[in-house]
Amino acid sequence: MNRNSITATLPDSFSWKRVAAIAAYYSPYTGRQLICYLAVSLLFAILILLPSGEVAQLGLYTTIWACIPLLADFAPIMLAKWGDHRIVERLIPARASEKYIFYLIYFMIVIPASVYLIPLAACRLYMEIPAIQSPMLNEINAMQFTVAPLLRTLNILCASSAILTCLYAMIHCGTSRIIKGVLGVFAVKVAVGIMGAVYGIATVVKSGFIDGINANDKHQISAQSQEMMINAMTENTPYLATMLTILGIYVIVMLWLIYRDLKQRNL
Amino acid sequence: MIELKDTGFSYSRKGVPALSGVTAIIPPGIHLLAGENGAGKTTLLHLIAGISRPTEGECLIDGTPAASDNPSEIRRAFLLEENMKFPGKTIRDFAAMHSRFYPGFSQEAFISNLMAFGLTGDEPMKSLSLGNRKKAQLSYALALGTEVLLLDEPTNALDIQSKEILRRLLANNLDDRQTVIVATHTVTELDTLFDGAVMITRSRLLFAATEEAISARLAFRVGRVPDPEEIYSEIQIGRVLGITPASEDEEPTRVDWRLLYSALHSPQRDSILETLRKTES
Repeated sequence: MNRNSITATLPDSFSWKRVAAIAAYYSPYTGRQLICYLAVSLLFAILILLPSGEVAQLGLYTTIWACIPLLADFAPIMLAKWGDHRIVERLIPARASEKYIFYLIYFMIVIPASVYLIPLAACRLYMEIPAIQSPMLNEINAMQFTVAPLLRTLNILCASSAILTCLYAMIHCGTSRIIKGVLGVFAVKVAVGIMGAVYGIATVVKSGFIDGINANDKHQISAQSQEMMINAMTENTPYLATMLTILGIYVIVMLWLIYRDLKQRNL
Repeated sequence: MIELKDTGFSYSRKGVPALSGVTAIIPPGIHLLAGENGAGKTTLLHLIAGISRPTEGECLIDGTPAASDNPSEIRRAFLLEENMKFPGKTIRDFAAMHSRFYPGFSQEAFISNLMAFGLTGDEPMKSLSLGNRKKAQLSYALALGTEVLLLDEPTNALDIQSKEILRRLLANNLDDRQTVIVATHTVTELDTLFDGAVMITRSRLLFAATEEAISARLAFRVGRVPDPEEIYSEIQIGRVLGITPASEDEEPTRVDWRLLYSALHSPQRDSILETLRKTES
């Protein structure tokens, strides 16, 4: 009898101990990935706090917040990076629900937390250090922490749809998994971008500031216009509700497809 | 015991079936799975391992479907494919994480198997040659203690000495309740171990039987001249290998698996199968 076995005495019903054993099975890869991700997010945090000119700071800020979601979106590629282990993974004697829970906790909670939390903390800290602040970034940062709940939900759904698409490609596809995962994420990003553009145009047209704002204080304009835009977007309920519904359905379908693949164990 | 009841599998709904109408009972023991390229051997292994679900019929292990979501049923079978890669830096690292799911795993047997192959288990997997990687994987798979062990071309890339070691390990590591299915094209390398065979061709089962059942029906002879009763014969340098219907008065002969395989892929196939079935009825 294997003295190392944690599963021998466990019943066939769902078990958190088996989820932990699955996490331990993946730990050589997840550990390495988490260390890399934490190092990158720490680097991003340092760059956010680095005193530099306003233009450079804005450029850095934009680049960093464009890269962070991509890190989370492509995290499931870890499953394919070391070759095709799908047979070994499929043969692991654990319930589909246990594997599913592990994937969701790791890719939807642990990974986003590892990439978002440190830069967000850096943004918060930035607002507390007047010596390095630029008025425009300060306003943008402040808005990040005061986004309306509906827009925050929209952001979460956008991020989830990209992560789940990549995860589905890793679990479902037999060949060219990395390419398919990357293409899938870009397809989702393009679709969300198009929906966002339509939403933005509709909001601008509806809100009546299509001609733009003419003023001398550009910092003030930028912060003001962003705030106005965001307020207008949350008020544009039918479009927001449509986007939320479409993305919500997509996320549910992806969650179901991933579970179905794990449950069927089909290669 | 593995039961295949009219089992079939298609990769797509309208596609040509990769396997069709396979009905067989495979009892514990070491069984040869043979067939030409694309015959459906790997598909059959996937069905028994539970990583493909039959699109027709059933595939059962001890009366319950091989494709199950219950951990106690999934861990009954392990498949070692030809070019399979195990994650982990070393085979020991992999075993430490993976064997936790297998209560029948024996660390002692694992180490002993590795040593038999001249490995320590601490060699980085990436730097191992194909043959040495195969040895490390076989050492692990044989120590898992699963009820069903499926080996796809286990001797490929192994040197002559390692093939002999594998033969010894297979004979020593297994107990009476285990079923091992060895899919291979090189039938002769493990031929003394086989207790039975499953032979398939073009997605269909030719036959599945134990060595005892085959030798009760067919006799495998070696002579200088062809036997007049021979259903199939091959002329080699200085000798003739032949298959004749077995006689009740004679002692059963050892099954020559390679010769049987060749006979079943020759124009005499129907005569061989007819003889097998005639005696059956």
